[in-house]
Order: sequence, then structure tokens, then C-alpha cells
Amino acid sequence: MSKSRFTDLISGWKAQYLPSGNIELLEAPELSEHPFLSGLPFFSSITEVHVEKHDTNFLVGRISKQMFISVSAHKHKCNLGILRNALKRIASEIRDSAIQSV
Amino acid sequence: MSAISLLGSFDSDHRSVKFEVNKSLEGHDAIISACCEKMVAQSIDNMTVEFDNETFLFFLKKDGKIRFIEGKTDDHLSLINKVKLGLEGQLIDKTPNTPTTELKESIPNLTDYAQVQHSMYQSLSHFKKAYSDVRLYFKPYEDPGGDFYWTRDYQYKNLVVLGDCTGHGTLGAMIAMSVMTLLKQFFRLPPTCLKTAIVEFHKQMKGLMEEEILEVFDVELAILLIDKRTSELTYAGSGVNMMHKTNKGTVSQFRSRKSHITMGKAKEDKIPLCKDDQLFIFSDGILDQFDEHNQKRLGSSNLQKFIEKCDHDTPLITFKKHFDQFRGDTKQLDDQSLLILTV
Repeated sequence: MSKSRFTDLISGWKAQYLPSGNIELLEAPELSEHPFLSGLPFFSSITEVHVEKHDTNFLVGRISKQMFISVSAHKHKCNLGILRNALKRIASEIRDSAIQSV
Repeated sequence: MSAISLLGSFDSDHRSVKFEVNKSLEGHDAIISACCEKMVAQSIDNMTVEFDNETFLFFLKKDGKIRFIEGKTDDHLSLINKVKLGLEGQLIDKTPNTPTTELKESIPNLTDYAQVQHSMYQSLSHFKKAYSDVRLYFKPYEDPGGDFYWTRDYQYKNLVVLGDCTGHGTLGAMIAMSVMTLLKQFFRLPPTCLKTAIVEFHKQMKGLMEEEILEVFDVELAILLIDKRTSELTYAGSGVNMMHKTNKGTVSQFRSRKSHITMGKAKEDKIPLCKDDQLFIFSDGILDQFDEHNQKRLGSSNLQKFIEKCDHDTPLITFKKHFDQFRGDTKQLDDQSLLILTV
């Protein structure tokens, strides 16, 4: 699974699930430099990271061993429950797409 | 059953980790430090790291330190709310340095009602828009409870409410949630006359509940309105009382009665405040606490003595010390809340 396969789909998911926020796919080489993920202990066991910074919620969830999805939105525009719901739906669509031809 | 396996704080100035639960697990220092260093470096306000969809570590910047707690993902919401509200001390009291397996036995799980109610409590940082410091002693008879606190900040004024609803447990909590909703609606704008507002609030509350059993649905309130421009405080109450401690240590009591509201004799007190003055607002569960011999209730005169002895910088710790000494092993009879605001 490579994130380049899903680049075109991201804008559609953003419009559908998270119009007021941002969606980003993260792959293995980028993870070691990611501001929130890099340097965290027991990295291989991490399934989700939530960060609140400057009134913005960032939610990073694991899709596969090498791929994470990051969704973010201002906390006054989108609460954490909606953000988590969007992340789950997008992660599910990526997993579904991964076993189909794109 | 909620279980916590780690609880403590990280001092970012000294780069040191202090464990309050499971002190023996000092090998975890490096893990906690790595996460806390990340928070400091990235200016993160709070962070949750979930492992294997089973356990989580939560970090929160608070009072110059980073508080952390580790628990099971199923208990995430209730545990992080405890930390956000500064109530994680309840977990320590019940489980002093005991292993996780024993924690499971001793920490009561929050019911769904409790979780919903806890989610309505504001963070204490909201009070700091008008006060330099805030401390809260909040001990429901059973969780959820009927006491609640709420604040709203306006451009030039700030409103603080401490409420004590009829009963305790789930009944008290359901009434508290309804009253909080009504308060938010009623005080969208700052009141021009507080005593008129509190009478009108009780009248509207009764009016809204005209189909209900009125004697069950009731609340006692203390409402404090501070004018930030003049530092003048207006207090009006319907049964929840307040004490004012000046920066020189003199304590004055301000009392109110529910019957005054129903009889149309509501009054308000105007108190000029100075820097470092402290306000102690308390529910009757504090006054009704019996002593270690279960013979004499605390009452307002003894509470005033405790407040006079309270250290200015650590009022809650000194109050709790005196209060715990007074009550010994005697059980509490009602929800107990004490809100301490420092000007």
C-alpha cells in the first residue's frame, strides 16, 4: 500500500467528511521526521495519537504497519468526536480501496 | 472497573518525573520523559498516545507542569476528565501505590450518567479569566453528584455559580445537568441586577418544570458577579453561602436562604475586592459533615476557623488537612464542594 495510490481520493474525502479541516497521509520515511510521531516510545505499538495545539485538534491514526492518516481541524469548528469519526471512515475507505484496483 | 497504572507529573524546568501511582515503576521515566519533551518542544497543550487499541497515556500541561495518566482505552474519557478537572487525586486516595490488579477492585467505574455529567464540568482554567487562582474541593457523595460549578466571562464582568441540587447520586446529577443548561441560557448576557436575576431564574425554573414534581426539582445557588473594571463583587444566593477572606486574613461570612427567594426578600451583597483576597464558596455538605465522633457537625463557625487558618498560597491543601482531621473516619452525608477563588 502506497500513499500515492490515494492522493486523488483525499480531496474527495476532505469535501465529504472534513470540509473545515485537513487530511494527510503519512508513510514510513516521513514518520521519523513527523512533529508529533517522531521519537515516541513503542512506536510499533502506537495505534492513535491525539494532540491539541493552539486550539487545533490533530488526530493521527495507524492504517497499516507503514502508513498513518492525520486529520486536523480547529476545535471550535469540529469537535474531537467528529474528527475521530472522519478518521475512522477514511481509514476504512483506504483499507477497502487497498484490496480493490484503484 | 476503571484502572490506572501510572499517574504523576513531569517538571519541565528540572526535566524530572514524579510518580504518584506505581512509584516503583521508575523504569518508565524514559518513556514519560520522551513524550513530555515532545510536548514541550512542539508547544502541545495536551496529548493522548494509544497503544494497541488497549491502553493510553494522556498528558496535560497544567500549572507549569505536565500531568500524565495511563489507563485502559475504555476508561479514556472518564480518566482524562478527572485530570482536566484536577480530580485525579481521588484516584490516589483510593489506591495509594497499589498494583493495577488491586486498583481494579478499588476504583469505582464511572457510570454513563457520570461520564455525561463530567463532560459538562468546565475546566478550572475558565475561572482564571477573572481570578488569579482557583482551587476546587469536589467530592460527590456518590458519582455522579448534585453539586456543580459554572462560570461565564463577559467583556467587563465575570459570573461564577456554585449549585447544590436536591438529593445526590443520579437524581442530583440529572437535576444538576438541567439546571446548568438553564443557567447557560438565562445568563447569556450579564445581569444588571443580581438579586432580581436570581429570583427570576428560580421563577423561570419552576415555570419550566410545571408538569414535574416540584419538590424534587430544586437547586440552591451562590452567584458571584465581579465587575472587572472596579473589582466590585456582587453576591446573591439561594442557600449556598460564601466567605470572603481579605489579603490581611479577616474572614467575613455572607449567607443566603432559599426561603428569602420564595418570599420575595432576595438580597445582594456588594463587596469591594483587593488583590489577593480569597472567596470560599461552599455547599451545605461541607457544613453538615459530622466530626470524628459522629456527634457534632462542622457548622459555619468551625468552617470560618479553618478558612482563617488556610495558607494563602495553598488554601486547598491546608483546608483539606483541617477538614480530614475534623471528620476522621466519619462518612460524608451529602455532596461536598468548596470553590476557592483568589483575586
